[in-house]
Amino acid sequence: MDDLLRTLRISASGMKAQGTRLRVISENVANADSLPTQPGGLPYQRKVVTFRNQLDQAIGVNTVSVDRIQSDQSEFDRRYDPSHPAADANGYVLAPNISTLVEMTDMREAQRSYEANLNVIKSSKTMLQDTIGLMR
Amino acid sequence: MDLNKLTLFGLMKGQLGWLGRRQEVLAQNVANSDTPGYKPSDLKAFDFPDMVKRQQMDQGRGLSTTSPMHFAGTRAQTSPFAEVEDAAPYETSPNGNAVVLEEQMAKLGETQLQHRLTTELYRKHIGLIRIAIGKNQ
Repeated sequence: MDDLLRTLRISASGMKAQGTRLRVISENVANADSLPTQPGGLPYQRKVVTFRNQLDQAIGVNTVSVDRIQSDQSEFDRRYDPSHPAADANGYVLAPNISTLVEMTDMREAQRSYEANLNVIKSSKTMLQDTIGLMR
Repeated sequence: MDLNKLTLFGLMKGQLGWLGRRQEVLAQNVANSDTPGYKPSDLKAFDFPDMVKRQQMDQGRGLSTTSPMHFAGTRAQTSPFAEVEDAAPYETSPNGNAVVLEEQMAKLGETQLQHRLTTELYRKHIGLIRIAIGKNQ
């Protein structure tokens, strides 16, 4: 396969990985207030995405893919709310370990990487068009 | 007439191949801009004597066949252009990733510009040959 066409595949793999990342971020944001329903229950645990460099056997180049979606092992937040059904004896409820600010920053980063990949595709496309234009 | 036998066209062909390959390497860097531990790479600069040497080396590799019934043999296509890992990246993030998007995008723009230059030169020279052929063929 031609180098430039392979470029498109590589960038597409990058965009796909960033898409998955954005999906996980949206899961985190949506579940920022998913509290347990009974005392001793656990709230939603934040998820994180890791990427991996992977050799694509079919086209023989290094593409990127999502390695594993893991849970964030940091401590849960605690909120004081004695009226909540899941409150413990002291009136505290465990809340998800999600900071919306961190998620938003992560989202921006994913967006920036996605745009970078998109620009590579645009650039490769222009180069391909230039080459095709030689026939005119 | 084989255009590739003209030095200039042969050189342009090599240059276009190099640019295409470089674009691929840069795309890999951008796609892996968030992969932990990934180090970006680039191609060795394109220079003509090197290119000629490599081309001479390339000929005569692979299986030779003595009968039309023989298979030609499959050899993994190796790129004639050397890939080098970036030895001194701008910065490395805590997870070991050394890709700086700005740097890669700048290189990408440069590659695209050179590609345009080469294709325009190609067109110009084809034009010159057309003039030599004349209008009423």
